[in-house]
Amino acid sequence: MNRTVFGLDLRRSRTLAIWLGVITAVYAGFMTLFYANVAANAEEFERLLEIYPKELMQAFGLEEGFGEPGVFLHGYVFTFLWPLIGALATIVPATRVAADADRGFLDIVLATPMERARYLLGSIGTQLVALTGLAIVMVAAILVADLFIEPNLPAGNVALTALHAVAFGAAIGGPATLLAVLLLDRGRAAGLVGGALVLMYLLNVIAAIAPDYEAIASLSYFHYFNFKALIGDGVYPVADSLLFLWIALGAWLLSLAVFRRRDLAA
Amino acid sequence: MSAIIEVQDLTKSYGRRRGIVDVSFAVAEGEVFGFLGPNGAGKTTTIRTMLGLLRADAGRATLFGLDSWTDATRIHRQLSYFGSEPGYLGELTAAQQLDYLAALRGLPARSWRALAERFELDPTVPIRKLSRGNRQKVGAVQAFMGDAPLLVLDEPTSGLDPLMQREFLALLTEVRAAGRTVFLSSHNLPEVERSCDRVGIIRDGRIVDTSSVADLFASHWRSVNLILAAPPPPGVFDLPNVRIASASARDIHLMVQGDMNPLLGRIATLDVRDVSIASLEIEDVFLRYYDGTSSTPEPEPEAAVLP
Repeated sequence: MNRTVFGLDLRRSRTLAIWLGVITAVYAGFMTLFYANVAANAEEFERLLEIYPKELMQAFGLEEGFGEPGVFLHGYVFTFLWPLIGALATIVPATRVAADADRGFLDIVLATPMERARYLLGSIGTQLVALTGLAIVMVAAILVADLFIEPNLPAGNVALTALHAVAFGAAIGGPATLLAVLLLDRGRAAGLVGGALVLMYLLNVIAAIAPDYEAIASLSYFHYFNFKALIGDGVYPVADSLLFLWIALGAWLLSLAVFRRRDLAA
Repeated sequence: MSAIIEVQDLTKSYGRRRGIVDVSFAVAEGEVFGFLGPNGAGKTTTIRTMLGLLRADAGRATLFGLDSWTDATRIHRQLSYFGSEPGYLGELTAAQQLDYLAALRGLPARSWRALAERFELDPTVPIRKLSRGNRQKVGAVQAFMGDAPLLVLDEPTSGLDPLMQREFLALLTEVRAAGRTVFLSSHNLPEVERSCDRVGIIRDGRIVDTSSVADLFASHWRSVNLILAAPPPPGVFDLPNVRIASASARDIHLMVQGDMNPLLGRIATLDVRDVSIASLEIEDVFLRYYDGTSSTPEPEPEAAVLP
């Protein structure tokens, strides 16, 4: 990786990352504060939720045991907040190479002695830094809010969620980088990745609602994006994290290989 | 002198869209080579293929004896490039972008400062707030910073005001005097006439002619209009390279091919009220190649006689 390129990439992601960080901190902190109320009134909340179809609640990760920290944080913070934050934090820097090609800046940079692979590594590094920073902000916001509530959350387990969250985000960033390099069209690359995420979310919902189609859940990232066992029981989803990391690593390596030999004709 | 750029039968298409076909030329060390062609003729495609940004379908380009595709990074250590669409990052100031590109080229930070002053560029303003001409200046400064032995400039003066164009051409003269090689793509004929040693002319993706600038201009007819105080003496314009296109008693329209000096010598003997010499326009040059045969001589203008 080239320090100059990485530095500029970080700089270009700074404003987005700051705003995503503020949103993440406020939302995650607020929901954690709200958890105290949920835990204190768990039975009432359970009864309230019974009026909704069970399958629908399952589809959105709101299963029985709503007062459990794992179920609550998974449903209200991780499933709802992180896919959006993780997608934005990775897709924007990942597709920057296509935007730079479109505005003619890529030609100027690649006509310097900068090697193509090192240029792209700057973008990949930025994705990882943004994801890690935002995951830390999310966990920190939960843990800080936890200082003001009872009962306390299992802090060690909550801290470990950052690793799985980063792995999930990386599995978005890898394919986004690959599509950006292949298509050299930011709009199409970002649209395809965003569309695939929505589709995978729907697959997960359909699988939860219709048990006959349960198998299709395995095609969805969201099937492997589950924090309930980790937060509740301290069981880290090693296999799921590794799956995400393999997808990310494979896509990034392929991107580097493609970009090295890519004709830059739009 | 050895060739710095050698392009042989270079062909590149964009799917079914034409790019360039069998383009061949060579540029010697220390030469300023003009690459002339109308918009869409294939100038930028040729340059981007030469720089290893595009992969040729057939043929080969070598710069410094290195293959433009497989040795692109080594080639880029020795050149400076100005793109026809000078890329910029709107969120950066000119100083930040220039420092960034200087760092990528291994040049010290602020090595562009003197050039920015020459082009009267305020480097502290975010590029998105600059006018098109000022953005072009950022590209020009970036192209001239450092001392790369080869400059590849793709229509560098379009958008620059006349004063800055003059500054640009002055810099080009300094670069030439320093023995550096320049590949200058342009559709501005006076710019090519002033700066280049040789020209290659590209039309519809094919090279139609390469010649010295002197030969190029010598073979074309230029228009000279004279308003005289009194009718000229008979035979005063009888020169082998001069034709009388039209003439009234004191208003005479001449066409001259090549060397102007003999005609200017005759004009100096007359009592001249006004004289205008039209500069050769690029359209005039390309008209010659419209039939696709570069060897076709330009037709002589129809001759008139003095009244």
